[in-house]
Amino acid sequence: MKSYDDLQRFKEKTHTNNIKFKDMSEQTLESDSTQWAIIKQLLNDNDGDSALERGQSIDLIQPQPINKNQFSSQLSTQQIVKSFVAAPSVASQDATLFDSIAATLKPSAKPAPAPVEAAPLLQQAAAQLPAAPARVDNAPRYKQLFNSRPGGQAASVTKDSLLKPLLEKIALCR
Amino acid sequence: MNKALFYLLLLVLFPVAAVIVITPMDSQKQYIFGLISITLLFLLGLSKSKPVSIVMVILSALMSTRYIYWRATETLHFNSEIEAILGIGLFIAELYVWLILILGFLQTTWPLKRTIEPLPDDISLWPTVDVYVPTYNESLDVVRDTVLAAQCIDYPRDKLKIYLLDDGKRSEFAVFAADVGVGYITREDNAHAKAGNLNHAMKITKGELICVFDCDHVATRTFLQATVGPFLKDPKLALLQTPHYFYSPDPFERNLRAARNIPNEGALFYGPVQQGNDNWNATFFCGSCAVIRRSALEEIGGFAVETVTEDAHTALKMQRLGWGSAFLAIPLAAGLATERLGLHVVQRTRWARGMTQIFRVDNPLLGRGLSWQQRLCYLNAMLHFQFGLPRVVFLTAPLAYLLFNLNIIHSSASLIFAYVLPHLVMSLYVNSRMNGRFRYTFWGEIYETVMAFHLVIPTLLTMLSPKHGKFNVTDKGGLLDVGFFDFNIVRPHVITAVLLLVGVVAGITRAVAHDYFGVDPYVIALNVGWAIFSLIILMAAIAVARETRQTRKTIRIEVKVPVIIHYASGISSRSTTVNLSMGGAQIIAPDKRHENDEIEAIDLLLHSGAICIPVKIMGASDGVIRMKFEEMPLSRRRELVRVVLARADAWIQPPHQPDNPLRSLLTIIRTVFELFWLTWQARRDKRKASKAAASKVQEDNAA
Amino acid sequence: MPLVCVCSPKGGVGKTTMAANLAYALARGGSKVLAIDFDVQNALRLHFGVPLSDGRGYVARSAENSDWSQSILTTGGNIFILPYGDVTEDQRVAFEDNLANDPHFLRRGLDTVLNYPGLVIIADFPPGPGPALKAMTELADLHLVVMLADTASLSLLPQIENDRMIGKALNQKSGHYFVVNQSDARRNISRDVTSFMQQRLGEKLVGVVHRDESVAEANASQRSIFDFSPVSAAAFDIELVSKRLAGLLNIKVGDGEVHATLRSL
Repeated sequence: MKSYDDLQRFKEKTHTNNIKFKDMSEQTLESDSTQWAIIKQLLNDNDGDSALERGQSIDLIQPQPINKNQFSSQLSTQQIVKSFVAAPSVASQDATLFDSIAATLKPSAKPAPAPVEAAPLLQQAAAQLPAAPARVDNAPRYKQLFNSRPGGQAASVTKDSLLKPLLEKIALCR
Repeated sequence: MNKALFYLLLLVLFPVAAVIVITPMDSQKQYIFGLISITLLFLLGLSKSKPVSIVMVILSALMSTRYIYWRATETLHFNSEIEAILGIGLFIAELYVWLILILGFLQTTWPLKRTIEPLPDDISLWPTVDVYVPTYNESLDVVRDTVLAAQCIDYPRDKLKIYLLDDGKRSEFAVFAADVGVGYITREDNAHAKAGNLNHAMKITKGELICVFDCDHVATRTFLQATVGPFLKDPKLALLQTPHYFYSPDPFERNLRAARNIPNEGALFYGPVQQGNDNWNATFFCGSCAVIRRSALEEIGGFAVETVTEDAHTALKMQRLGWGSAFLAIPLAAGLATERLGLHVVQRTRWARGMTQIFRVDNPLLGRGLSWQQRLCYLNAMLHFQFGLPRVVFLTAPLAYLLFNLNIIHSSASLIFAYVLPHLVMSLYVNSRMNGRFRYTFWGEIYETVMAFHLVIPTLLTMLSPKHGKFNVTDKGGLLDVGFFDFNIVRPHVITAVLLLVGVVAGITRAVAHDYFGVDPYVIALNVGWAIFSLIILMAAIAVARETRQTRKTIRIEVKVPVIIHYASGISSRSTTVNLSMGGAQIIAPDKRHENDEIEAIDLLLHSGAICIPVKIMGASDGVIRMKFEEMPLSRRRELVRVVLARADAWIQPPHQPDNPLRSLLTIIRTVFELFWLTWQARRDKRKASKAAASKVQEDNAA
Repeated sequence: MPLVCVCSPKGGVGKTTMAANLAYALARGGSKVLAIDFDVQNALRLHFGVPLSDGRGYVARSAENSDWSQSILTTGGNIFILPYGDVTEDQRVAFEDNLANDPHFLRRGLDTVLNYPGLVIIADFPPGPGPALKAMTELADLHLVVMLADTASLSLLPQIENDRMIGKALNQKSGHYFVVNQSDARRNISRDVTSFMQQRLGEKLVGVVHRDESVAEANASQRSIFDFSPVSAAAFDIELVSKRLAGLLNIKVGDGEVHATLRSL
């Protein structure tokens, strides 16, 4: 016996095979399973889009397309190295943040040569991009924090941002 | 058969019947007449058809009426005042039995075999239902499963509202209701007990139909889909009642081994009797497991509060206003039987008082709104509860002659026997044929004998003064952890039994030396025979008082549900349950893995969904693994209720074997012997145990 | 003749084990069954007792040898296995090229067994789209998509439903069906995903197989789950799946036909 079909047995014992009793047991069962984000999205696959329905929690920011110039070829490999070595994303950092990070790195003898190298490179890169990032920088800085729609301005926060610099950035906005 | 023809037939047959009833005969002719009638009845009994049954009923009714007529006209001559009093008392008791017999025939000869009326496919047409679970001082353990089972009922969520009506205003109940998601209603006072509680809830709820469950009555999932249909079909239907099925044994089943394989005490009422009532539109509300139309209740001003059986009275009031009632003989909910004989007696006494109150306060024979069949059915229900005094009279009647040499029937022994024989044999036989699957012969006498002595005073007093008096035999509930003999309840029975025994001995002595005593040995034989029969019934009733030890905590229900066993090693095996309870399960061991590999959880596989429960093994033997369920959150407990208690087919049993009066009598006699045997055995074991303990103490002292 | 393809968009879902155990289940039902391995991992043969060191298979010579049935192995009984075999990288590439470019390559190679009456063929494929799977669309009777009871598998459901796994319908005959593998009611995700799939897929879900360590143990012992542990919950579920498949494919055992024995190495 695969499973115990009590409705069918009831029908047999009471000779009511012709009556279509409705099984409504999912009413109490279903309330639990639709808490998972992926299942919710699959359920709404067929229904209309609704940001509220797609229900991700507020601490998860939906990923947005990056700024087109984020990985522009001008700065090529140096930037890539930098982004692994000195974590903060290139496009959106203030000189002050770099300085503060560089400041924390320089005094200690321990850090590997790479970060020390990187600092001047960073500053170089920051200098090389005054105009374009800066313009993008100020205006959407507030907007990107609250904008969750993909249609908005290119957000300048990439996936690779560390949390701490991001929080510091937010603190700076005040 | 149209009415004119029917009345014509009645007119023609009436003189025939009158002749049969009235014609006096001497004993020889009466014997022959009696034997011929009995033989005729047995021959008719070979046919199983319905019209033949009706003929048999008529024959039996005629013979019993003949007996009563003879008694009334020929035997009421007495030699002294005391004989007159006792003699008339006996006659009234027999008149009572005759009346109940006739009314009973009327009530149960045409049972309405109602089937389930399906609801329409379109759910939007289904009415809204409020489920009330009234409670006062019962523990949350019991009520919890009732509420959870109500939540498992297959009915659209937006049309079903469940309310816990707590007259005890206990905070743990409020917390529970909030946790599990049902309504919680309390009121300021506790006036009128349960009826008041229900009436208060009616004021603040809105469902078109009201469904009442006592706090220990768990519903099965098809309850509403099986009962709501008729309310849509018949706008004048006010009530649909379903049987009160017990999944724990009642005192008779628990304390008498023989009672476990016979139809239980409630089977007759929740079978032929209510089905018979249904045929005459006289089904009455039994307090639980029923659906009632709100507008009908509102028309009568809510549940009746004037008597202590508010349920029957409510139905009567509704019927007076033209509402209809129905009975569906399928067990769709189950509850716990009274745990002890003492509690059983309390409960039945309350019913008897209530029905007597209704008889006095709202007599069904009087007043408007009822058809004559409804009046007679209600009358039968009320008169039934007056059985106390007549039963006592029948038990003690032979003592009048055996101990005091009083002649309370003016007739020769052989004539009495000639009249009584067909009366008794035919009524027993016809009842056995009609209701044999629901009540085995002579067991009704046992059920009544147990209650008889306790009912006399309450019913008499209530009959005389319906508003006064509260006679509650105080009894504490709770579990019995040791067996004991409830001597209090059966004291009068024991006294009567002793007297009967003395009477039998005296009778036999006098018969043996009948020339010396100058008595008619046949009279003695008749009285002694009667006394022995009473003695057997009394002993069986006394045996019920032998309370066995019980662990009511969780009742096991036998069912084979497929199960997956999850072992700690990650292995999952398939097997089947042997039985299930809310506290654990017993499962067939698929192999010997459980001896070395711990079982962590099991999945119980219902077609509508599987439930996974963590378990703890308690032991294994004979290829069966016993496991206990750990504490679980409410949502999981609800799923467990769905499998164990709310299964649609949980309480539907195949019908019992048909009755055989002789076999039934033998079973009862065996029960009586068992009483002696088991008591003697228990005493012997106790003596052995105390001897062993004593000798052990001696050894310890010596050492 | 019925040909069942066991596939999955995702790896590690237990396809190969499922294919092997289904073959056993159908053989227990009385059919002759051939299991074919299209996955370079060459793992299918291990379920049938072929030693690890035995590298025989059909792919290495698939270009020259146009009757792949020559490479079929058996231990007697009703079960036959056609292993992928040990191959060089060139042989693998050549095989896949042939599958992709020569439309008759597959049909030619399997011609003998495809025409053998009453033989049920279960084919195991590597995960995701691949040349073998694409080449099978005209030949296969039914595709069985194996999913795990987790959201990683679940998230690929739209891909299959929209025919985006191989860019076209998986199957042109009886279509594709699903089986959920390793469902465990004790785990929240597993339970919720299983229930979701049951509601979403309805009749297309031919079965749910419970998570059961016996399957892994049977695999390790190179035996059929049915022989290894008859009381296994997974064995019960797989048996039900095989019965369902037999119904869908109209496999009738007991119609009196007698088939000649399959020639094999």
